[in-house]
Amino acid sequence: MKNSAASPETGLRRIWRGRLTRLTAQGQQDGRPVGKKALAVSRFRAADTLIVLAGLAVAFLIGCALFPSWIAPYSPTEMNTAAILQAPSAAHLFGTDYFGRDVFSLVVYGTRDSLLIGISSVIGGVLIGGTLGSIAGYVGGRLDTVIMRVMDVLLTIPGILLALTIAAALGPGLRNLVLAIAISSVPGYARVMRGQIMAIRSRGYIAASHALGAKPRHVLMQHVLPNSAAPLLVMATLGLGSSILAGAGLSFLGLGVLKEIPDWGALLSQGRGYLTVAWWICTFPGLAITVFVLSVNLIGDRWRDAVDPKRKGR
Amino acid sequence: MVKPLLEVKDLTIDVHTSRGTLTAVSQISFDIVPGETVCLVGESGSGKTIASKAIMRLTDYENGTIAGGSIRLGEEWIQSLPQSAVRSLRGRKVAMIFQEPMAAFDPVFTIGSQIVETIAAHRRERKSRLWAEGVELLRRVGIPEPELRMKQYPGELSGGMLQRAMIAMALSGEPELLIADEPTTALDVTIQAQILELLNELKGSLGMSILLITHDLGVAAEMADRIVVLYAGRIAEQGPASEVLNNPRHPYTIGLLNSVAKLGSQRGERLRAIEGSPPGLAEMPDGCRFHPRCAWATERCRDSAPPLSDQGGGRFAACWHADQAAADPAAASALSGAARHPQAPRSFHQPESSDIPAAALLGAAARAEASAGFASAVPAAASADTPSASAALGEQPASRPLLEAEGLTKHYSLGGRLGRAKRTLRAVDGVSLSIAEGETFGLVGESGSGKSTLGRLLLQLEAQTSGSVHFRGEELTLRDKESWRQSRRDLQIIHQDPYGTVDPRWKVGDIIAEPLRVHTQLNSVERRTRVGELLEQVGLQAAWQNRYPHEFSGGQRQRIGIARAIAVNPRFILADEAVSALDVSVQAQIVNLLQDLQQKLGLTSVFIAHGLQVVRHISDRIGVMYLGKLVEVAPSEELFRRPSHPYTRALLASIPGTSAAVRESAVIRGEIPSPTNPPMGCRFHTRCPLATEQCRSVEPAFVEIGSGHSAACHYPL
Repeated sequence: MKNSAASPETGLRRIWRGRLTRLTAQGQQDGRPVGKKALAVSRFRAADTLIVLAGLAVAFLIGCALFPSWIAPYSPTEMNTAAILQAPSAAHLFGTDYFGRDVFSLVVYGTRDSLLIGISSVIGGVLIGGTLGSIAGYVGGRLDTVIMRVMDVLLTIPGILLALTIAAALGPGLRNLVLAIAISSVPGYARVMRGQIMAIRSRGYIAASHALGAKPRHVLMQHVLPNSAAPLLVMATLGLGSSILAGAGLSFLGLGVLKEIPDWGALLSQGRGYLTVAWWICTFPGLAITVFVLSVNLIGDRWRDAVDPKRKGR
Repeated sequence: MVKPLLEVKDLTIDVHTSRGTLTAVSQISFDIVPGETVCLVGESGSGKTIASKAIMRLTDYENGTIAGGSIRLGEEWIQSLPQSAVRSLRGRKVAMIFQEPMAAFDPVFTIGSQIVETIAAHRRERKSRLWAEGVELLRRVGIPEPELRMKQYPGELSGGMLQRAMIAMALSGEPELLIADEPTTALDVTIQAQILELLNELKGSLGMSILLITHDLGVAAEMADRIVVLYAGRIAEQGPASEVLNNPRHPYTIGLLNSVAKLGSQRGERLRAIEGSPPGLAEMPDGCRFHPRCAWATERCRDSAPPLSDQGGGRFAACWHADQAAADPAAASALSGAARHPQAPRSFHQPESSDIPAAALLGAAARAEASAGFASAVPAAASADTPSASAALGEQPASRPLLEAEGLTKHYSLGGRLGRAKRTLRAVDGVSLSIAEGETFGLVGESGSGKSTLGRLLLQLEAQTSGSVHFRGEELTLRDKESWRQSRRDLQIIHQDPYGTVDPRWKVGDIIAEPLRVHTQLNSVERRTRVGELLEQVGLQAAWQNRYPHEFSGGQRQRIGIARAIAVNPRFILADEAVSALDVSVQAQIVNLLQDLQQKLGLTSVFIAHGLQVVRHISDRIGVMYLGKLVEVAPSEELFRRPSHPYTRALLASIPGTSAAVRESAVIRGEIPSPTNPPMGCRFHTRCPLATEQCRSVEPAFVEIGSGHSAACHYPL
């Protein structure tokens, strides 16, 4: 997932760079320097194609989650025994599955639960993990040791196994599923946040702010947290994909939401057995996950750049 | 005429960056004959380093290409050789030493293995012979116990030692040309003096040529036969060293010379700074690149770039107004003040009066005294001191002490874990001093002397191990958090690194307003007004509040740092190496600004720096630190005229440009010992030329030896 996100981006960066070089060279030939504005405009043009595409994709998926009946051509529960395991065609864009259900409609209807599980578990994980990591990193000392050793213990258990245990203990249901996934992702976020806080805490401007007489609370809220948040946010967008997948895995094991409308992960799991005869059942839900995660990553990345004043206007 | 060893002609270097191709150096030409030292002098961004790297074709590895011109080294045309051929020249024909000796060595290999590797790159020989040769090289560059050093790792050697080892490595191929890129910038003055002396000695005995790159005109004055002044990628001026320094033809050279606070200049007097800052590569001005900062700039300068024209006597200058510089006596006298000395072109700081019996006096004292005499001829010299300064000169400081330190001590414990022996680092050891209201107290010393730690203790940014600090009669302590916080309103700090000490996500307006938010009840509109005032007070524009710190140059950032420090009208300011990281021409601006503000706001301050001239220029009194102890405190003039402690004398003699005879009498050998294991008795005895048995066993007391002049020495001079 990480690679697929990185490679198109670097390729694109190279293209931007090419454009910039040409633009600068032209400007110099004319004998006038290329203004900052011109550079910014050209960069924006190159960047926005991708960002607009990503934005459209996310908007469409959110549309699917909110109003699936407007988009899906069939009902997700409608089984057409006459058309079992049909390859993608004009009638069935993504083909049909072993019950004769339209895969496209299934994917569209599955969006809501998938996004709900993914987004809410990531939010939960970031909030809990970020808070614990911040406390550990900022306060330090014994509290740091206690928190981080607990995190280390949690980290030794594979994430899905941890989620499985928690989900099993709490019982099936959407809320418990989200909670289980969130808790299993907490150690990762806590580690990153702690490291970041510790790095920022030793920066010169933190000491300078203390030397001004600023209260610890002011320093934490105004300097340390805003400067530490970026990696966590990028990590959160990456975590969205794995959270959706974890949710799928748990659903597959019967610990998730047991409903007649499967989410993307459940679709993926269910189609696994037919991979050799009907590739489309697995592929399209998988693609939906990829498109969503990739788009969110791109937007997150761009957002981070926009928030970082050093990159702005460059 | 001797055929030059190196001939650089019309060299133009392009650098490819993500923002397009930029021209770092354009059309520079110079040459070096065998046995000659040529200095490339320039500020950051002048292209001096990249030009020197092009000579070894190292630019190829840094996205640079030689876009035009030629480089001839001996019989080889460097610019058209393939890399493989250049590689065989490196080390053998031309070698290079760098600014950061720490970074130039690989930390995981021993010094010896790295030197042997270098020799082996050019010759095939038995390992044991190479090793012996390495030992010999280290001995040659004056490293004590070379056999032992060969087996040590870079981290175990000090910066000065590593630079010597670097030179040894460079010598291993017996190069004809040694390129030294700011070889002493990262080192202390006393070590700098030693390294420069070594380079000069090696040049003489091996007949090498040296291309020395430096930003420090003092170093250039000491070392160079000829000087090439670079500005914004072009040559501004070049010629024989004495000519360029004593009779510069380019306004930039004149400005640079004026910017240096000289021992001869009068304290309290403003430095003649060059306005503005050097341009970045991407925004080179049209015409003469210096014209935006030049007082003489005319329409012609704005429109077309002046060529490097022959001024006669081997001198060249790229200025439309070079004749004016040569003819204008005002400009000429402004440029180097007391430093003119045609008879001894190398002694940049030496005054003209040569009738002082040099042997009888210490070098620095002789210079300072002579220059004071010189200065007194100028009206408003001696009386130009601020009232507080004259008060400090009196027997009892008339004004009450603002800040008093009593027996301040700071020990750090190191190690003590995982079986490593526990050691104590004595950063500051029993320092007492009192700073009068309105006074500027300078603090100097080598790195490791504890001057920064003392500064932090004075402000109670750190808790002391023992001792106390009183501010306006009340004890200042970290223990009472609330009153400590309140006291910050009166005690502010200007940091060395103006960029690292501001939040990069904050706008300049918010950065300067932060102390206001912390200490005052002003609302956001009032804060903005105040920030606008402050920005204008430090020479920036009020409208720049909405910009981010990275949009400013180094000098401007330091102005922002100053605005932030004075925002809440503090009584006391600690300036910790506040100008050390800035370009020379910008340094002068900041020093002037600090002086103006201090006078206007009636500030008391402690000014920590390693640049002695700057400290002298700005301080009323100066304290000299050595290994955590204050060894001498005296009024600024007095300290330079009559240094009492041998260490002070050595520091003064180490200033580049001091004549060899003077230096010989005072300069010290060796390096500052580790503060974890300071010597017994007088801590300076290991390096002191006058040390006796008593010094080795009994620690001298810090006693008053004259009015306001104290020193810790058994045999004060």
